[in-house]
Amino acid sequence: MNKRLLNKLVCKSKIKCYVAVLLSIAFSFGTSTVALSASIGNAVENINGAITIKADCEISSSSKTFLFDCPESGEFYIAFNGIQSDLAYNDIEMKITIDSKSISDNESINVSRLWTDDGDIRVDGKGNEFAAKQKSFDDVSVIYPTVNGNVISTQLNEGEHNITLVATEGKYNLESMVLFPVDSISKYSKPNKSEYYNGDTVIIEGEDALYKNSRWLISQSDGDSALVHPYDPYVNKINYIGGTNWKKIGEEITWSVDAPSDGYYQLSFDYRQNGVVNYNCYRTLKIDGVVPFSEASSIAFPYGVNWNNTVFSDEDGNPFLIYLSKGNHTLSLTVTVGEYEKIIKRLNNVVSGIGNIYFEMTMITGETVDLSRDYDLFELIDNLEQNLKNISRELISIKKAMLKISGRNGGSYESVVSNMNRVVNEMLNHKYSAARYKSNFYSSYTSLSQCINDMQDLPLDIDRIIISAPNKEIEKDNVSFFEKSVYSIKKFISSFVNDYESVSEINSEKALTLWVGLGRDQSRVLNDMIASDFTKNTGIDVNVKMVNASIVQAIISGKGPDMIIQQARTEPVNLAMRGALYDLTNFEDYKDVLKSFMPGAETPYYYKNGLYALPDSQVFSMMFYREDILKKFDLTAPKTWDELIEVIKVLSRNNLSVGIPYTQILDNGQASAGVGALSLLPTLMQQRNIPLYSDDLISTTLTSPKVLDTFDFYTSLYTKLKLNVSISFYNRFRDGTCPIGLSSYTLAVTLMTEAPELDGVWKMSVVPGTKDENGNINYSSAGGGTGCSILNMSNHKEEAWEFLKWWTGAEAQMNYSMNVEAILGPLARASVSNVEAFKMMPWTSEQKSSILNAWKYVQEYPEVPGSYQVARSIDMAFYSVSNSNKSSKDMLVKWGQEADKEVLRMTKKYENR
Amino acid sequence: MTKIQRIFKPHNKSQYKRYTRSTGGNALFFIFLFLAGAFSVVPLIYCISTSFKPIDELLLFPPEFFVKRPTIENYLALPTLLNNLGVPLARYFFNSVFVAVASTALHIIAAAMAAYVFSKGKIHGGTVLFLIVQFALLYNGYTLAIPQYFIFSKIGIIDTYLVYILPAIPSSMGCFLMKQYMDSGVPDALIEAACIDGASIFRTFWTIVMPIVKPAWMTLLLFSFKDMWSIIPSGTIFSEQLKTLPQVLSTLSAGGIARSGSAMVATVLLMIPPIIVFVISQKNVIETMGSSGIKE
Amino acid sequence: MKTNTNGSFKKWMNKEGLYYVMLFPFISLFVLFTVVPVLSSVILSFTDYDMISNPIFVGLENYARMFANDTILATILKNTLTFAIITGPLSYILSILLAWMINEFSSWARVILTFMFYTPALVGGTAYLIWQIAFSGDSYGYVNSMLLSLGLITDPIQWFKNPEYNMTIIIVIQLWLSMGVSFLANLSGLQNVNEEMYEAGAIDGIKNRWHELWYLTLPSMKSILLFGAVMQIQAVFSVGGIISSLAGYPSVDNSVDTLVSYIGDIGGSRYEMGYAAALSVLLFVMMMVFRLIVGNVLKLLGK
Repeated sequence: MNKRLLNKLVCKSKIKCYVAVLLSIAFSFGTSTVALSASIGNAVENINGAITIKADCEISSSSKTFLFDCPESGEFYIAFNGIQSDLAYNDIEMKITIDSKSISDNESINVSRLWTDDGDIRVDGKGNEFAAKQKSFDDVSVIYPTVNGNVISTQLNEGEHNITLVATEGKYNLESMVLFPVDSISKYSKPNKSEYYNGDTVIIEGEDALYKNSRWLISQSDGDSALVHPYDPYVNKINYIGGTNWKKIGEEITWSVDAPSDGYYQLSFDYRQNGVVNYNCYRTLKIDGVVPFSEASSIAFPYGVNWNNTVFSDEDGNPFLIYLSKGNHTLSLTVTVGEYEKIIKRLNNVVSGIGNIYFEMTMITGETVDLSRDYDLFELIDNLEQNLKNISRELISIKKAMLKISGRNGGSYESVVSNMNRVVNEMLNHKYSAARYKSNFYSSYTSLSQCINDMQDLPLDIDRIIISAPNKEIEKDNVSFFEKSVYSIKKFISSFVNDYESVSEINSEKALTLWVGLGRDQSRVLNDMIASDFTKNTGIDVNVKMVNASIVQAIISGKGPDMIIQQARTEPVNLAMRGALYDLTNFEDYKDVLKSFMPGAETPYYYKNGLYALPDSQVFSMMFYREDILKKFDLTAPKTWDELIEVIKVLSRNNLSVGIPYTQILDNGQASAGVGALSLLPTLMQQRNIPLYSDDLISTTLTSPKVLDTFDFYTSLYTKLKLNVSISFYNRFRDGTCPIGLSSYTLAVTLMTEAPELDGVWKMSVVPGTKDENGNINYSSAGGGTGCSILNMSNHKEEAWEFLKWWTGAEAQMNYSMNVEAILGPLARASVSNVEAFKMMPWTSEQKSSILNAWKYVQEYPEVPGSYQVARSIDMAFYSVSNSNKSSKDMLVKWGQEADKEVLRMTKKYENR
Repeated sequence: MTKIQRIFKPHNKSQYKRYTRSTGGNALFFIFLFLAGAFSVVPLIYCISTSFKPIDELLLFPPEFFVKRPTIENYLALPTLLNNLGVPLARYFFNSVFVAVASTALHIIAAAMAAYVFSKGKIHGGTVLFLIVQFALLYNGYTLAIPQYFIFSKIGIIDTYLVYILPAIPSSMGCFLMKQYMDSGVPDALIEAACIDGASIFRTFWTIVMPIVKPAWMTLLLFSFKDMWSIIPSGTIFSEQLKTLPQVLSTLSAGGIARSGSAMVATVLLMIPPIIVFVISQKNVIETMGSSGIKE
Repeated sequence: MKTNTNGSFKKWMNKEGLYYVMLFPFISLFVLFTVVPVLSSVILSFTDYDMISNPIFVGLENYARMFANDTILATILKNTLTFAIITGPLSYILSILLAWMINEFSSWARVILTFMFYTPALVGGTAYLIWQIAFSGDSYGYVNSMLLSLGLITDPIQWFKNPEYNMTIIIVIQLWLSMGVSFLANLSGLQNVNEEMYEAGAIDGIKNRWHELWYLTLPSMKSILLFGAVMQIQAVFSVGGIISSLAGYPSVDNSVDTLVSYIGDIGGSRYEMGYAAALSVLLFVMMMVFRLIVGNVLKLLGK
């Protein structure tokens, strides 16, 4: 039978199903939305020229192939109709090949999981509302596979094809796939007036989203304005969705819309866009999963300090009307760069060209340009003049295009582009002294890269979506100035009465107290997590106080907390030896809890056979390298230190460097981070199997010959091989002048989000190892981290233990880290100590396995009384050698003896307590 | 005399001869001092300049000193960043103002009264007591923190406004300054004359002595206000609604480099009240008393 | 007096009694918040107190440790005294001269100049940020990049990390920051100098402005000068915070650590409050010595 006829029949029967189910929906309002999805699926399949491929199977790690027929060649988008099927948190990663050719150049294709509110908005004892917990959206929906947030499209010729799907991460239950032509989305055509809708206005509250494709897109509360709905000066009410969590390309929120009757509706939004000063943020509108017309693929939301209203209309103010049939539909808004898409592409190309030129320049001039030399850059670098001229021309053209969109001069993006152009022209005009402009060139280049990143951050807050009869005046709540002032005054007065700390009706008898010295956002996240998860499940209240008092003050005032979290590495032993902490081995299940960390992670928190803290974060270094640059010199990633030294030699002949930055101790906080986090020496010692302390833990091994040798090797990296002591490795890695280096593994997150141009070109692996006599390579490395403990003066030790178990558990660790990252950006991703939590976080499968591999090798040194002096001694010895060229062995002996003295003194002092 | 000449004319209200500079010399002198002073003002200019920098200039390292393309974006973005604080911004502002004004006023009054007693009142043990007050200045404050915290805790003022205000009142420097000023500026004869005229001790103090020592307490006003305006409590305040403005604004710098423009705006704005108080106090210091009121 | 009855109480109240009443607010709070803590601190100096367990009385052990056992202390004392002797007198004299020079300007010129010199003290913490950038150890710090481009050095110098340079730089920064309390106090003190003196002086043979300054102006400001001196001593011995932020905690080889930063270290990192208290007492004694010297010098003024 003809495939088209088959499709039509399928469609017809589907419509019958749809009607039947809709009727049953009417009797069971508020439950499953299967009917809804049937109509959605329809919308996509009904597009002109769409090819529907039935699947009805599970996409998993075993590949599935489907055959289909393409009636007309063209470019097609791909949409999935289906539902996720396993319970993990990570998005589904898959590979799609058509006719055995990958459609995405080997970049992994992402299929987002969908999330929805689990139950209602939660309210605390005081009436403050906060968002519901999120659960998987377990219903069929239309999803577009994406690469870096962008929807994929592929060229197809007429004829038969096969398409193969395989999931490298996660599982997906696919009902059908729809390929529809890119140019099926036509321009808007004004409908007949007779078809206008003219009934009552329908208002959808932004915070009542049906589902979203990111777990962190939750509804929020704005208590500062009387313009938002609903509002209350005395308690926090949930009133909008969006915020800084809704800004990356591809993030989407979907609402459910009930249209009262068939017709063309006008769409307007109560919104606030105060994130990107003087620029617009854009969203793509989809109805039932399909973009209705091409103008809807980027709706502009202009900047404004306060809440505002915008009607979806064209430049002359004529509203674009959307057709909705009577009944249920979905409306989605997806983050997009809108009109800037082409510009961003062009900028990316230009920046990559500029980066290459910078790299070539550095190979000739080295890091700092000697002003008295003529470098003849234009002679030595191929085609430099031509390239620079092209770049300049392109920059000017880009700037013109940007001006056309923004309509104003002097915006910060335009000025960055002008600046880059200016520097390029200076170089072209001063060919012989062009090298002098290198640092300007570099700073403009980094600004431009940063600018491109910023252009792709588009936050928006949606308070309400209003669909109404076209051109009908929406009764604007014109909040008068008087009302606004009254609101502010009420809020001010309530601040004298309100209690801002407690999250619930806390009965201080049974409640735990926790002090956190974190920033406001982190404290909020913590508060929410505790209220919605810990307290709900265990019934134990926790009073979280944002205070930057020390434990000492707590003890003196007698009003201290019950437990402390995120203490620096050296603190637990420091406090334990003074009797301030409670020995956790008193709890029977402590050994089970320790299983959730890497073996040995709790080593630094033992004191005299008692365990005084659980690790709540663990950080360690890995090696990052640029494959493309290493390949240029025929180098491969080194596995041992000797190999690394060879690499250093080759690179430095070309004025490139290796990044092994050293952390300088500037304050107490850094001093207590522990010796493993500060320098490379402990790692090297671990690799040679040298302990840091003697067996009886009363002295260090710093003065022993083996350690002196290691230290000598370590300092020779800086004194003989001239590595830089203090550099910004991330920047140098990005522009290529430091193509290899060591850094904490969380750098990977920064590279993923802020340096997308390096995707696929950088890799991470375990740090270089040391070969022993048998030829085996020891890859150990020393780590750093924080711990959480229970105070001895607590009267609720059992409850506090429950809290610690929860806090170091996989859910809490992951939730906290991802929530904070959603607010503060990639640099805030915590290096969790719970291995399960780590696995649940959104790493690519390649990164995950690299990091887990390196993590296995991490060995922790114990902490002893007086260990701050050890870190200090190493620091002092190091600087004496690198600054004043004194003999490394002499210096380490001198300072090692200081450390020994101190450790002995402190140990003896506290021996009998 | 033209306006310029009037600015540079040396200030000499006395009718007696003094070796003063010529007007021209004064002008040159001013320029010289101005240039020397420019060096001191460097950080302030840097702060103001940074607050106007667009984001690409903020990312430069090393930072350029003067802003090339100033923009007010950082200023506009500030209210956004301060949204959703829980406690309204007005409350933090109120806290800072209240604490600064209350502690300054109370401190000046208490210190002036005590200084008057030390300077002019002849009471038993006055000299010794004053020496103790003076020497207390020289004791390093770090080790005092723990006993003080203990005392705060025992008298129960932790987490209240009093923990800002009460410790600020007995500041030795204020009393010391006032007493020295009264010693040199208020002749004993004046006090005796007032006493003979039947004024009580307190009246003498309030209506005669205080106006004479105005430059001193105006200076004190400035110091006290500046210190209390920028106070950040450490471990003594837990409740959100009692925290002060500098503490809240310092959380802005936690947002990384992209926020450093707005953090600088916050710093600049925070500096404005002390500067206003500075100008007021200095203008008042200048009013000299001419003759001291006693004919010898 | 003792034989008189109620009437004399009222009289006493109006004479001496009122003095006590006026003294009371200040002194009572002073005793509570300053005297008692100082005494506790002195007592603590005879104990071993780690701030968590109770203090243990150890007698003179802390003092013995200071003199006999502490190898770093000698360097620290040397640094502290260097700062005190170089920065102290210099900035004191500078503040007197500046106040004297600015005093003669009329209203607006004077306010502007005062403001300019007072700014570093006013701006506070952000002030030395710019020094940090200028002398950054990276090859992009202002001074380093200038020297590198001129070819005077080949590797960037770690200014604050190098014991050869960091002391000098910090002295300069400290001088620059020091126009604070004493400067303004001197300015206000100059206001109340008795004008009649100058006529007498002109008759008595005062030849020029320096004579006038030395013989007339300064002696009549003695009290204020004493105030300025004491504040200067206090300021100069309290240099601590900027050292850790600029030069490290502790600085390389303890090359710029002062007693104050050392005390902070002992208390903050090592939790040995007893020893820190003993060091505070030592610091106090040092400051007292300076105070006595200065007091005597000021008596010489005008002779």
